[in-house]
Amino acid sequence: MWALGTHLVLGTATIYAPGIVTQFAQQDAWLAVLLAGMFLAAGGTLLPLLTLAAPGKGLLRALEERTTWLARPVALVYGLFLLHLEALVTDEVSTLWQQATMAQTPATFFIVTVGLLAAGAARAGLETISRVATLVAATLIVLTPLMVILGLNMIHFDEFRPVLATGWEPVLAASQPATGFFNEVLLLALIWGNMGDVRAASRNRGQRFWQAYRNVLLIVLTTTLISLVVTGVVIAAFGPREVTRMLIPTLEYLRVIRLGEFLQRLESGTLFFWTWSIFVKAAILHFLACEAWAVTFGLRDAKVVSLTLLGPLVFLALSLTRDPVHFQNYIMVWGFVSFPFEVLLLAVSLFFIWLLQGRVRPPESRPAPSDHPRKVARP
Amino acid sequence: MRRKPGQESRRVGLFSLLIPILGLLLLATAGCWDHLEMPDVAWILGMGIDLGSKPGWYRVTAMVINTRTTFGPVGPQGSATEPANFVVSAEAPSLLEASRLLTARLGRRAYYVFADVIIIAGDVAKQGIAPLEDFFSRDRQFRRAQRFLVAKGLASDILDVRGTVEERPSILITKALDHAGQTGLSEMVTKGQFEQMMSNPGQDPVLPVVERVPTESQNVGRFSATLPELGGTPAEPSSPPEPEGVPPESPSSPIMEGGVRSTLQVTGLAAFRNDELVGFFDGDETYGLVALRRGFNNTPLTVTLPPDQTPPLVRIAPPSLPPGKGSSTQYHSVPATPPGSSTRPPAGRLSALLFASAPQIQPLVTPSGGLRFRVILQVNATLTEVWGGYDLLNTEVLNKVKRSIEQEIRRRIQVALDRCAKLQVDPVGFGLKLYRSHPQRWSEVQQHWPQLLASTPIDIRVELRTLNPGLSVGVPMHGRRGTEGSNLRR
Amino acid sequence: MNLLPERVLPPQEAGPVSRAVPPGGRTPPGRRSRPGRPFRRGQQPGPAHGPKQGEGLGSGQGLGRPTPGPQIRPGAPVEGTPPIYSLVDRASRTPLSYRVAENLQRIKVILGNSADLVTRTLHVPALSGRLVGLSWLEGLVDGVRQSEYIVASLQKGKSLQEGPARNLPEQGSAPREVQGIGETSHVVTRPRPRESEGLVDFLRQHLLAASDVSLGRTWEDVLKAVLNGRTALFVDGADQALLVETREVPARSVAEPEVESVIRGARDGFTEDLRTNTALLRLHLQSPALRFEEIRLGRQSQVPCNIAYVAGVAHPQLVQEVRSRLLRIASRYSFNLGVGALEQLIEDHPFSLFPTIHHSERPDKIVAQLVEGRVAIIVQGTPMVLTVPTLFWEFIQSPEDYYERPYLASFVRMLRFIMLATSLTLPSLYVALVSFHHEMVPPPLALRIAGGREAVPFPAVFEALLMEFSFEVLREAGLRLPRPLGQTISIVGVLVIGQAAVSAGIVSPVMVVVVALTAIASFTTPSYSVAISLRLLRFPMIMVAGTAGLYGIAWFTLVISLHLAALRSFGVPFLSPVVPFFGEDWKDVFVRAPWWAMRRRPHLYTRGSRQATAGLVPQPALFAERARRGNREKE
Repeated sequence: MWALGTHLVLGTATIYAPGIVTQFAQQDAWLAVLLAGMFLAAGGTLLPLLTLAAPGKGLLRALEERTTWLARPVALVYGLFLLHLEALVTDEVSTLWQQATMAQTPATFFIVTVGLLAAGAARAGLETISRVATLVAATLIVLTPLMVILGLNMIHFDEFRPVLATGWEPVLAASQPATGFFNEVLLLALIWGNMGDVRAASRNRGQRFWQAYRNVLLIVLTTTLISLVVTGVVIAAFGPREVTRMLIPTLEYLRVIRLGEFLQRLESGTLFFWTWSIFVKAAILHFLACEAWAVTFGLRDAKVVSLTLLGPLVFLALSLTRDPVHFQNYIMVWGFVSFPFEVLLLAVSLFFIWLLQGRVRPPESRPAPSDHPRKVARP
Repeated sequence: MRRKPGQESRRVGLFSLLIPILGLLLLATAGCWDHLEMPDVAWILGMGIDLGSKPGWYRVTAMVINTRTTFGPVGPQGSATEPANFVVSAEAPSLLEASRLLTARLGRRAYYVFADVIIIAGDVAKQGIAPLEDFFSRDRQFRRAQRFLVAKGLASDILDVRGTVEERPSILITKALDHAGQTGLSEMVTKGQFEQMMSNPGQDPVLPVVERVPTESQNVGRFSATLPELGGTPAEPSSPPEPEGVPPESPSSPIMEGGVRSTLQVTGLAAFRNDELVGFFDGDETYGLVALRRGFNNTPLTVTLPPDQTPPLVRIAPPSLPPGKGSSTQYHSVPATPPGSSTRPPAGRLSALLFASAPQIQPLVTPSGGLRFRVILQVNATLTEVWGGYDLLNTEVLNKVKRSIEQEIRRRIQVALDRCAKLQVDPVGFGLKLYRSHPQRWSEVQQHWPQLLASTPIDIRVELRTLNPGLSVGVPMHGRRGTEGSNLRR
Repeated sequence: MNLLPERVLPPQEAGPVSRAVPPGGRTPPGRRSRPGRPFRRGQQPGPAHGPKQGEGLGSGQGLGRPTPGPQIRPGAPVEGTPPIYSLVDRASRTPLSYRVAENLQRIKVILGNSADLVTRTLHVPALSGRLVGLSWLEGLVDGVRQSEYIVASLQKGKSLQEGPARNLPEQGSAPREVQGIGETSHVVTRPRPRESEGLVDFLRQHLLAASDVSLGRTWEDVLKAVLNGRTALFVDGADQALLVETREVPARSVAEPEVESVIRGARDGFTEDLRTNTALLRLHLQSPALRFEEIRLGRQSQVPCNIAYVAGVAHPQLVQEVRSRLLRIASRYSFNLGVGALEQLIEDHPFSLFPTIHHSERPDKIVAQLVEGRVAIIVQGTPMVLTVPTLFWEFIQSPEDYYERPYLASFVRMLRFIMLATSLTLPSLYVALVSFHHEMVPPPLALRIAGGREAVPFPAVFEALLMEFSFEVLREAGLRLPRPLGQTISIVGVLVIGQAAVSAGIVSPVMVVVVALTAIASFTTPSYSVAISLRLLRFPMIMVAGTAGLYGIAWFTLVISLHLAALRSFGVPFLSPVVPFFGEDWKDVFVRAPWWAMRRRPHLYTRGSRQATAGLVPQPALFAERARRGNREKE
């Protein structure tokens, strides 16, 4: 679960967040990132609450157990939002690669490849995705300090001064889009219950809460740390004003990494590893979207819709492809755009789950599982 | 999706193959849009930008490497007459169009990824570099690590130099820049650093200057700028050295047929305000400026010892100097000089290699609003040449030597600061330091900063921490001091 | 004689495992099977392990119900072993006759008067001259043993009247019947209920000198035994046969396996004979817990196959799973085709490019895996032994690693990993860099490559594919050449041909170097099957690299990773212990920790049980003594 959460955030946060946050907070962007991490830690308490209210179930399934009239619309909203998010992620991949090296490749190519990968991964199941996510997370963890070390000759911590010259308001304003990225961890609520803990029954509520919250904190720690490092390094290398000028500062940083005369201009190589993380994020989002749409249509198994969703995804991505400047403006308000979906809806659903917790529907009235053995979930 | 019991679904088996099938289709129908074969590309290693013949036009010169002859398979293709690299120019209203024209002229796509060096003519720089820099920062082939240089004269001339020890002028320039510390008379500035300096508040950018100089001339370069008695010409901004009687080299004439070999020299810095060239730093000014910005990295320094510090023990007769070029040094002459020693250089000179990191610049703001800066530079020196046979084991002598070195450094820094004041620029970054430590004060003064800087007192403190004499402590002189046993080791 | 039956009887189902769809109801989920198809994903119960945090589940519903497999009673033969069924002769399903002549005639008929079937009769003086018939297959039988232990002992036995022979039926008390065949004159009567048992028992206990004598009650038993090298012994007046072990089969001697040789280590290898192989295993592991279970494969071929495991270490559900899969296919095929076919019939992912079942020719390797808790499958006729479950990292391990000291072993293992990645990606990386990302190559090298490519008329992708293809051809050709030449020719061949191609201007010199390096890298993979998989994957990867550069390589690599992560081998995730993460098992994945540090068995199929006590670090005896005393004082 840690790997899934990490990739959900880092896939986009490290690419887009530094630039946007620096635009607001200039050299105090790192403070904004820290703040965003704290907000996430606060908002992340919703996830253990879900564990308490509906152990062993994801958000939508828990809701579905109790109601239909609420579960379906909520699932529909989540489904649309997740597809939208996934379209943004494919957009990000295409922007990155087009800006970095492959200028003439059309966005359609990237969209279709990412979509195929995500659909195949969703079909393979959450287990498979989480295994690949763990592998890729290990790569990321190795890569980030490496990135810092390779760029050490360019880093001047003087660029962080003057600290808080313009006060706290820009920092708070800057933490909004960052929080919007970080809050994507809360989307894991849709599958949160699948993280089984055999010993849960023996603990009291407080212990279960902390058990679940520990996982959230681990995710928060990792993502905040890595985002902090990336943002800090980018500012320290270029200075806040330059960062504000750049479209994708992280990419620019990768472009200036050099190991002497021999190895330089390595951004395609470093993007190679970074893209894995974004792929995994797209896969996770696709799986979540499949889950949401499965609940919308009353299916028990999420995998059947994975290939079907490929169509709307590609369509959505193609129609949403914005020019990067427009996209930047969109990202600037991302904290506000994503807040209702990620936090509010989650809180409201949790409230209803808690409210209706006596009302679990009997199994017979639930739709039967699809018969094919492949669709039966494997342990 | 219900199925009848007992009905094995064959569709799902195919369905799961759909993804690989789609993937293969994708592969087959993909257009390889960015596929670029190496022989389809013209490798441009250096780029020069001049003013075009029409107003608002640019003339772009590219130095292209001839991969076929230089690196091709061994065989009859290689020939001595085909040049290893050649130069192509094109004129257009914008840089992009000029680049496209180059592609048309070369027949291959102009590829700038290895273009390490971008030379901007002085005239272009005077008009403002911002449009160029904008072009370079948007295009993905140009990188922050590429080096900018300002050319005195035409940039295309710089790129057209041949016959140097390096085959490609761009490599020559790159290496010269990398070893800028060896001369102490310039520094390397990359595009990224230039942009950063431009955008930093309280700092004005500088760029190194490159010019073409003939190698077999009497001009020994700018090293001797401070020592007129050696016959060097004094520093002059923006006048390319033209040795007399030498026909100007045409860009396409082979080096062997007449003409003088010329090479490139990277010395001096060009000062910018915002993005416009306002003047040059030469000679000692550059030295001092580089010292303030970067410190010293194996930089040479030659110091003349003032006369009252000449130690009493050593006397060597000065050569007879022509009148009017007398040095300010007075010597105690001692007879018994060996015949033929009149050509000896005057006593009291030493050369050292300096090492120092960038100086600490501390802005001091008094509560009443007064502002002063303190510059602290800590230097380590290694002596390389000492003319005069000083006894460095003598603490007094040693301290005097140290003092003289410090004074010389301080003098040069002062010269640099004077020049900054004259040009009304702040390339060192005093304003930046002020901004970083006292942002409120900075916001008050930033409007008139360079003028204000000119009138702000700056304390320069140079501390020579260690003086390394090298492997010997003196020159043994037969019949002089040094052979009388313990005299040398007093 | 009419050998064709009047009607063809349907095949018997082999027990509850392969039960057809019960009428009138939905199939229970997870239990769908069709005759002839290999096991599909989602159907294996797998060893139960607690869902670990972070491992996650699928949709979380509908876990398949576990198989109610055949119950195993200790000492009894495995239920569900398919009976012999011959399409040819219905008569083989008839019981044995109490007349020797009829039995001998019957066996001749069943085996179709086969030229290697030998029958003879003799009179046993100890049974008052009773007729005894022997039949065996020449070539499978040790003539010396047979004549000494059977014929000689029968012919020299004491007379009937003495000793335990007192209770045997008299010969002459029944009315005479005419004999059709044979030279004897005594009559054979239908034995009374206990008589045939007593007769056979007497022969077995008191007359025969052979050590391994079993009883055959039906023609299935007799045929199985005779086809396996036993001698069938029929007695007049008994409707059971004695099956005496007289087997001596032509077999290869135990020699070092050629593809799995080590510098330091045991050099015995399996042979084609099942009993020799099991004997080798017993030699390496002399533990009473080592068990072999027999299953016969093939309806008509009845090839013996043994499942080997260490009781108490191997998870019982794993053993059960192996058993049930083998039983499932045991009667589906007429003739078993050996270990290769077997592997393809019981593997979890038949469409995957990667093998999920490991095989080896080395007894020490198999024993090591048995001790770790795996199950081995040995089949008569092939020197390869399969082991399940398999992890991906095993294909990079070699028995050499365990005989060397840890530093060398770890270094070599890490080298192998790098070479694995290289053999898969080097050509595609070259293609991507040269076609898309020129800036990544250092300028002098890039310009040199550019110069080399000036003369070549093809794009880099095509060049790469061409060279790789020609290397595959050379490698395949090298297999047919005599052994010392084969490997050398493939590498030298590619270099020579490559050089010639460079001179002709068809390929660039760097390409030849890249292909040669890839070839050498691929030879370092210890496992041939995985090397094949990577070879096959290299081609689409080159194509992807030529289409989309490094992005394509990243995409394809992730697709491969997803596929690998989804594989399971008999319920165990293929990529464990890397993902899902089991820290203790990492000691044997990328490095090889010293033996004294590997104290627990692999986690997933043995629950990490301890295989060694603590404190095994080699140290001077005095320190060990002090440590032990210290420990004891603490208690």
